Amino acid sequence: MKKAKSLRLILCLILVAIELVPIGVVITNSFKRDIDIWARGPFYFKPTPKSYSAVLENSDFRLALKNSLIVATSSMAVSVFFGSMASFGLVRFRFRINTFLIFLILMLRMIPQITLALPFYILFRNLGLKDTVMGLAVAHTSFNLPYVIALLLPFFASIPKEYEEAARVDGCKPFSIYWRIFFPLAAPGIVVAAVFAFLMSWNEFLYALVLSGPRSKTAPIVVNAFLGQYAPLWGQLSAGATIMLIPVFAITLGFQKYIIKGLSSGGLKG
Amino acid sequence: MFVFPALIVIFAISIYPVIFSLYLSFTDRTLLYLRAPKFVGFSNYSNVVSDKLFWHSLKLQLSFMLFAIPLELFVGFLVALLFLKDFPLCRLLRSLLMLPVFILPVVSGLTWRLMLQPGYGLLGSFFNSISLGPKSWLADTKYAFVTVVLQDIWRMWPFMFMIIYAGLSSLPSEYLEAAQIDGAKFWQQIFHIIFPLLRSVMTMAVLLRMIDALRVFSEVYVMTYGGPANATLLLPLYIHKQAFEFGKVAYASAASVFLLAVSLALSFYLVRASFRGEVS
Repeated sequence: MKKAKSLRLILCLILVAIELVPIGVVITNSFKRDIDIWARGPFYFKPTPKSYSAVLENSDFRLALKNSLIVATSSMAVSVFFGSMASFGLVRFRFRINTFLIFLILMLRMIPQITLALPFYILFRNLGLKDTVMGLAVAHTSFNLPYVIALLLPFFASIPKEYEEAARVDGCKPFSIYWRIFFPLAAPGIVVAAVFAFLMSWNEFLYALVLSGPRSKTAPIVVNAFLGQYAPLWGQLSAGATIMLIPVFAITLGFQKYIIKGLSSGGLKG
Repeated sequence: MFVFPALIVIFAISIYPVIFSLYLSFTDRTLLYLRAPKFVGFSNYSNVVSDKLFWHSLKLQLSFMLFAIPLELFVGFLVALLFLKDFPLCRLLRSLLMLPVFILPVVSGLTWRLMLQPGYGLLGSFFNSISLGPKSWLADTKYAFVTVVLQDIWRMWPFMFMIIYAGLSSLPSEYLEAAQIDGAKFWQQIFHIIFPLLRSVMTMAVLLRMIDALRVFSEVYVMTYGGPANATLLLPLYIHKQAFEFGKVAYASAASVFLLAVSLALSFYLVRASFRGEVS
C-alpha cells in the first residue's frame, strides 16, 4: 500500500514538472537579457533584472498595463452590477419567460468573439468608440455579463425563501430585499464572478487587437509586439508576460475552491 | 424589473451586433467606407461556399478539434485516476496543474513559439541536437499544425482533468468498493462503473471544449498567424484575415455567421443538457 502511494507521488511529480516547463521557460527567460537568449542557447542562465527594468521603463507597456487594469476593472464592475441584479431577478421571480431568458443568456455567452468583432469594429467606428478604453470595456462586457449571470444563478437559487418572506413581512421593498439581503448572502458567489470576469478581460486579445489603437492598447498586445519585425526581444517579452501572469496565478491559486464552478459556467476564452 | 437593465445591455452589445453582422453579410460592405453598401443577396454566402481556402480552414478547424479534444480527454482522465487516491503533496500538485488553464492564451502561444525556435529555443535546440525533424518547426507546413495542436493539449488537458476529477471524487465510493469486493478488474471498473457514471460530466466537458475550440484565436495568431502557407489557418483566423487584412467585411460576416450557427447549435445542446441535469 505504501509502495503504491509513493509510486503515484513520483509519477505525478514527474507529470507536473513536465507540465510546468513552459511556465518555467517564461519566468526564467524574463530574467535573461534579450541578447543572451538568442546568442547563448536555452541553458545559459545568469539572472538579471535588466529585462524587467527595460519593460517597466517602456512607456508603451506602462500605458498598456494601465489600460488593461482599467478595462478589466470597469468591465467587471458593470457586469457584476447588472449581472447580479439580473441573476437575482431571474431566480427569485417565477415568470414563465424566465426559463427562456436563462436559456438565451446561457447560449449567448458562447458566441465566438470573432463574430462580434466585425460588427463591433464598424459600430465602434461610427460611434467614436474605436481606440478608446471604454469601447474595449464595452466589448469585454459582451462576454462577461452573460457569464456573471450564469455563474450567479445557483448562488441566488440556494438562498432559502424564508429570508425573502421575513423581509417582505417587515415591509422591505424588492430593491432593498435584493441589496440588503441577497447581495450580502450571495457575496461569495459575487466575489468569484467578479474575479473571473476580471481574469477573462485581463487575458483577452482578439477585441484588443481589432478595436484598440495607440491610445487604448492593452498589455497582451504590447507583449506580443515585443517580437518586433527584426530582432525578437524575448527577454522583455517574457518579463512583460510574467508581470501579466502575476494576477492570473494569484487568482488561480487563491480561488481554487471555485474553479470547477467557474469553468463549467463557460469561463474560458481563447 | 431586475432583469431589464441587463437585458438592454445584452441586447445592445450582443444581440444587436449579431443582427448587424447578419445584415452586413447580405451587403457588399468593405472595411473602408467608400460608398453606401448595396444589398447583394446571398452572393457572399455562395462565394464563401465556393472558396477553397474556406474549406481548407474548415478542415483544419475540424481536425484541430478531432485531435486535440480526445487527447485532452484521454490524458485528463488517466491523470484523474492517478489522483483519485490521496498521497502526500497531492493537493499542491493538483493546484499547480490548474495554472496552464488560466495562463493568458497569448503568453502560452508566445512561450511555445520561443521554445520552438530552432537555434535557441528549449525544444528547438533539443530536437536539433538529436537531429530530429526540420530546423524550424513553426515554418514547416507539416509540423506547424502539430505544434499548434500540442500547445492546445498542453494548456487544456488539465481542464479535462479538473472536471473529471471533480466528477470522480463526487461519486459515492461504495460503487468502487463493492466492485472491488466482487473481484472486478481495474479495467472492468473503468468501463462498467466509472464511464457510465461520468458520461454526463464528460459530455459537458467535451461540449464546452468544442465551443471553446471554435474560438481559438490568439494562441495561433501569435504562434503562426495562420501560416506558413495557411497551414494553421483555423476558421476564426480565416475570418479575421478576410475582414481586417483584405477588407472584405461583408464576406467575412457571411463566414462568421456560419461559425456562429455551429457554435450556437453546440451550445444549445450543452445548455439543454445542463437544464435536464438540473431537473433530475
